[in-house]
Amino acid sequence: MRVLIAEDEPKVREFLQLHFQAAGHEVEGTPSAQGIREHLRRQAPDVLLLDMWLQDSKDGFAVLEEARRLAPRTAIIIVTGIEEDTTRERALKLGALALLNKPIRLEELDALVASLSPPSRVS
Amino acid sequence: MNAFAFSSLLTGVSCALMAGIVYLTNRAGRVNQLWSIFCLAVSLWGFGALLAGMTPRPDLALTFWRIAHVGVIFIPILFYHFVLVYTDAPQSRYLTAGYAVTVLFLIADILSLLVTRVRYLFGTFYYNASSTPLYALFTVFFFAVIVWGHVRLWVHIQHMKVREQRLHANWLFLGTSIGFLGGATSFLPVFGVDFYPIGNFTVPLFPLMMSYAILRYRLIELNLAITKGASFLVIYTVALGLPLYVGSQYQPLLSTALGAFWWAAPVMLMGLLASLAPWIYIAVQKRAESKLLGERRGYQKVLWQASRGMTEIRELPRLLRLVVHVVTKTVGLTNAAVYLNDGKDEAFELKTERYQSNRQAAAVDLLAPNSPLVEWIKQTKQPIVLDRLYSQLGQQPAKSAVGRRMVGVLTQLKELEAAVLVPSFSQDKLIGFVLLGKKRSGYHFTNDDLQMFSTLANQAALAIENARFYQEDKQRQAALFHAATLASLGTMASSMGHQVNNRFNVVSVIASTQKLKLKEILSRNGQDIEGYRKALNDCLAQFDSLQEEAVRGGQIFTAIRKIVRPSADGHKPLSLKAAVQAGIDIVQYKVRLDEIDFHVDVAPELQLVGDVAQLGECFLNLIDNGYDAIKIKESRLKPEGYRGAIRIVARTVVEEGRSWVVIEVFDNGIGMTEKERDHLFIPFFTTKATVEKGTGLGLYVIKKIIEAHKGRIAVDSEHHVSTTFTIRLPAIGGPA
Repeated sequence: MRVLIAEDEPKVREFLQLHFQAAGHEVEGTPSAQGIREHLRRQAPDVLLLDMWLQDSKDGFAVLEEARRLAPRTAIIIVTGIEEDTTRERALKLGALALLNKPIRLEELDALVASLSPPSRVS
Repeated sequence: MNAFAFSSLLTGVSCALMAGIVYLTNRAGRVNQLWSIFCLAVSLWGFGALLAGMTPRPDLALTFWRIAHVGVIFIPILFYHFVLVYTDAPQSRYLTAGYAVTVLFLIADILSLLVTRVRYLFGTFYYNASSTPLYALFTVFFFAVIVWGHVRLWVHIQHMKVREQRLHANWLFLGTSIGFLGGATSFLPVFGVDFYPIGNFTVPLFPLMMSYAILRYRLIELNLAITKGASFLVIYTVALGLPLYVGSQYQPLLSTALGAFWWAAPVMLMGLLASLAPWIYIAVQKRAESKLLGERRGYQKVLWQASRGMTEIRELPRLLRLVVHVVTKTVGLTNAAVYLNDGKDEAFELKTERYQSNRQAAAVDLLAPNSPLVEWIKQTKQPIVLDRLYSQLGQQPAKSAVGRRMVGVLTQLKELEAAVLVPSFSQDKLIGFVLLGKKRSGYHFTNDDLQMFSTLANQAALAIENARFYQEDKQRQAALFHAATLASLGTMASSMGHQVNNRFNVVSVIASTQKLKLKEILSRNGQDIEGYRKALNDCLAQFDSLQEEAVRGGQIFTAIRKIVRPSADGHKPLSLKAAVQAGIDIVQYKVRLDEIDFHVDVAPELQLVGDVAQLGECFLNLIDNGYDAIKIKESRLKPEGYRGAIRIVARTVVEEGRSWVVIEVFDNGIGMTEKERDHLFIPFFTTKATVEKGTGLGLYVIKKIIEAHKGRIAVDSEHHVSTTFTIRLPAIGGPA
């Protein structure tokens, strides 16, 4: 699968990239909304791991909406540090697959990604 | 002029002079009034006897003796009355009876029944020779009253507790008894004992002795009055007497020179001297005043200056120390202490004290609201003078309620080693009092002293209120600064929260990945030791990252703590760099300093006195504002090749005779319009329109913080180009 990691914290980005590569995925990373935009225009990934807070955008919903529009078939997993009452509901409404709270548990993320990819596709 | 006439002249003049001076010194005082009338009576006798002693005609001598006796008749009862008032004794029936008898003798004198005949004595003058039974009765009355008056005075003196007062009274006793003993010799010839009344010369001695006592014990007001009176007398005697002397001595000479108009010369001389005399008098008086009052003027001036300076002092403890220092040093007191209302239960707390010697201070820490002293001041609202209270106590019936209270007050004053207590009232509320010890010189406190202390105490009361208000104001201000800091942190809550979460997220992700790695290593089969070692070393390396993240997470809270800590401990010496860094440590979680040219040039040795959290708040806000200005410029003007820049540069300058730290905070952001610049420091004014816009208190609070640090802040800005805030704060140390 093709995974795009949108995360402003370089270390998290780096480790997740290594982790998914080790699991046999094709992984790319970006710290900004602008990066997401470019990636989606070039080639929509299967999974977008989206931090609500990026270098150039603190409005995750706007980014989510735009990503949804640019890549309607990409599964979008939201990562957020500060979850308010309506965040989850709103994210799901806007088309996110799931919402994970920081700090994220890798097992949880792996399970989510695994549920998206049929085992047969991994070769 | 014979000796008797001369002694009478001296008596008449000296007593009249003393009557005038004593009366003018304190017109309202009963003691002064009675003493003056008494002296006038003696003076009347003196002048009457002078005329009687001069005249060669027996009939005139008889009339003069009768006039003299108007004075003589009043001498005993006036003296007795004076003693009663002087010793604070209540007026008795004896006094009324005495006056009644006096009036009877006066009537007898007017009806020519008292002085009935004169005889030529000592070959010089006609002396009173009325050896009638009535005159004998009068003589007995005269001496009985005089002796009784002296007895009362003597008894009173023995009970006087204040050394200065007792000495003064002793001189009075001595003066009057010598005067009366000498004067008594005048009665001898009347009854046929032809002893020349030479004792009369002692009568004018008593005003002299009184004057000496006054000078000796420095009752300063009298001192000055006497000097004034004496200089007046001498100058006018010369001005009027010299022409008369010239006229009488040199008449033949002048007549030869000027003929019939010889008198014009002395008259002109008199005119000239009379017009010069006031000038000379004023000049002499000024010199005398400055000499006599110089010392006191000196300390009054110091106190006056101190009281003016008091209102400038804002720290209460310093103010109180100054009050105590000023009174002990300039007035020369053994000790002094200040008590202030503690504001809660009306008790009075010792705030500051000063004792000459190093011995254990006598002052107690707290005076209860129901202590005799506190109750007494609240009721009387007057300064308490230990000496005076003692003499007042003497007049009170010993077991009366007031008497008991006075004893309580006196006991307390003695315990506190206070000679004087001066209360401070502000709007009728007793806010405190000053306790003053004895004067080191041993002199006692004059009315002028007390008046000045009262003025000083009231001035101090105002200053204390001022200082208290300032203190409260300062606390309110500190609370405002603190609230502002919390508000600005509030605007950063989400960005700081994001940063904190990121740290934890890194930790979680690293931990998860390494857990997987270790699981994988554990699941390996085989003997590849090198392989294991390599895998475990990789794993270990990641623990450094874990550690680093944990430390970074902790640093965020340290930064917050540094700037949020309420500044209860006030201003301390600190390095400017630390304050700037405190601001940067926080603001870096809100703005991306790596996106711009961020440059700080503050030498670590720049020192000032202040509050690191408050100053940190200033730099935090200024950097934040600068960053916002840069972002606004980027989005609004979209300048080509633009890169935002914030520069903080500090240097020292010497201005107004002292060293200042000048800090410039520059940004090349959007800049300000003239209108924005004018409204910049007004509370709640903001140009920020973002979600995370400030409270609008930022620059207002910064200005207040800088002012609280005795500094100034100014702004220079060009719209669309740049903004520079310039802060100047008083520097300590460093290069001047």
